[in-house]
Amino acid sequence: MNRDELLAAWLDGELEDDARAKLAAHLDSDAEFADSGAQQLLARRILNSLQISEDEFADEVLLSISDRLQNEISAAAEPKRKIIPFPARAQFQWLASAAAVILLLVGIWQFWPSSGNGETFVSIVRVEGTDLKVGERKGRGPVEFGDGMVRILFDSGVEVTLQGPAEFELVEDDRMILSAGLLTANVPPGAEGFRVDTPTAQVTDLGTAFGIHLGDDGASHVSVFDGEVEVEEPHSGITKMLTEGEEVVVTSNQKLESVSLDLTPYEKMWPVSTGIKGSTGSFELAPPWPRRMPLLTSDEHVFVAPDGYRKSLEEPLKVNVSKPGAVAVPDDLSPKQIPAGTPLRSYILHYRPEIEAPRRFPIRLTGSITFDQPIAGVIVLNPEFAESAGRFSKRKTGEMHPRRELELVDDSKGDRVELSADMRTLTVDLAGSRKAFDVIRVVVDASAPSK
Amino acid sequence: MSDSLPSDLSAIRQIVEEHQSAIRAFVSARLDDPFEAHDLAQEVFLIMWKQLDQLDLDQPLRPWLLGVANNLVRKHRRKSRAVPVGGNDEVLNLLDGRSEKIAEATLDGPVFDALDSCLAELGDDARKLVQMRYVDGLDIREIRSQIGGKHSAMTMKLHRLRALLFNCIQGKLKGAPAA
Repeated sequence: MNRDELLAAWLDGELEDDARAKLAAHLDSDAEFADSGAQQLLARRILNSLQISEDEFADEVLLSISDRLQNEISAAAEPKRKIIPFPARAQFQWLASAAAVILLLVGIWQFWPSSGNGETFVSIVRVEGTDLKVGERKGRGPVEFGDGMVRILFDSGVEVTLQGPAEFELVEDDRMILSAGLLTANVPPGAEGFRVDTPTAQVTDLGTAFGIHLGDDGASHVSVFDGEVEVEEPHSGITKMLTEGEEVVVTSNQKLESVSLDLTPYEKMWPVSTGIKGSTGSFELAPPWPRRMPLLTSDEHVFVAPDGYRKSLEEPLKVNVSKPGAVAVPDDLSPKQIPAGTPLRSYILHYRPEIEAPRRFPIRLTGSITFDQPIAGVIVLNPEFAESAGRFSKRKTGEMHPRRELELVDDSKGDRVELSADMRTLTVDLAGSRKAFDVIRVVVDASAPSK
Repeated sequence: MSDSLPSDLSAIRQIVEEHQSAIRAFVSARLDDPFEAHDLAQEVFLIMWKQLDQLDLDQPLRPWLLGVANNLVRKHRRKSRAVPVGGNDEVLNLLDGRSEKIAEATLDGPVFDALDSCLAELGDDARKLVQMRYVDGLDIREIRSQIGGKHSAMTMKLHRLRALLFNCIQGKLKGAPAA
């Protein structure tokens, strides 16, 4: 291939590694050729935007603004969630510290599981390798466990997953203290202001998903996966706002330092945190960050990621599959309308092949994913996907595009899904052609389990 | 923001509608992923809404919006480097800086209107090819299975079409009043 053919092939995602190196050498040595390549790249990017309809651009912006306004109004109407701005918070630091000591002493005296006034505000949702029981209700007081993991659900809707050995204390339905271990928190809209105190930091959520791990040296590492949090070093009152993809360390000598985001500490707990029990075959759990699914490409994996946060449906939700069994053709579908008020978690299953690497041989992607709560429904067709867009999060997943739906044709190019009898496992068998950019939405029951 | 700016949503809609094309074009020209570009363009207007009370509306709004868009694109690129799958591409790294300079110099104006106009000037076969490749998202093999032709001939045809469309857009923008 000459250099123009190399460039043309690269722009169409048809160039393999060795040829790409040749093209890079040409571009590096000839500025004029590089300029023509840059123009071609610009043309490709502008043309790529043709696949997204912009007719509703302004409507979507206005909708996002309305949602945020609504959240701000809800937060303002809930005085106990109001975030006290620095320096007002610093002025009352001594009071907060004293209160924390008193709470700790009271908690120790009362000894878990008895709570101060008998009021409970937390449900145990999932347990892995600890003595805590799923469905148990907890109130104010300290908790500790050795190796293992536990996911808890505050009545406010905040979900917290802890990895042991862990020591923590439940204070109120918008506050807890972490003394040892790792923690991730998912704070849905309306529950902003949730706060976690560590030995060196106060972490206040502003509508987000974040993680905290405590180092052996006493430092608190705070990582943000989505949204924003405020981190405060309580002695100096120094605060820092973190947005997604950022991490800070608050050291035991009262320093607050920005560091590169490190997701490694959360790898083990991520499935528990997201409500996934296990997976086989082609499934790969998307990392906690970035949460923009279109960034995740792979020829061999179907990525799965939570879409937004646990929420109760404001309006009914139409799904295509709601009963156990295999779905290979449209007649196999079991459409249903899930009623308003149902608490759900939504997940996006996403297959997007690499654009750079050509596929010589078509493959199929097969695998199963099991959730820790029953699946309430699966969306595989475009009309229902389009209706569900933006209902769990504002992030774009490509679901609006008609070509992202599954192809329910009973031949080698068709896609298949199957729901298990206990409704907890979804098995997929997808045709892995280059055109396939398949997106599936799975909604899972998110009501607090009973004992 | 001066007191003269109404902060109700209809006023914000007016601002979005006035500037969205330029902001979308700015972001789209700098990111490979159109979905990301769409999200970031929307984020520009959400930031504007959050900072309404700090904006001086006696000054033109467009440069401020473009500055925000520029910051978001840079931040996005920094973060995208950490993506564990999908990887970075040496060719892309070589072209990105140049394409940004060319975009700054030549893509100032109603880019999408110019694109629509240029597409309308294409012959039926060429327009169908663009439709299959960039709207329907078909790859070369799939396009060939529908309309035939050699693989290399098809990639070169698309190559020439991109060059033609880029030059056409540039030409239209030169003659167009500022958006």
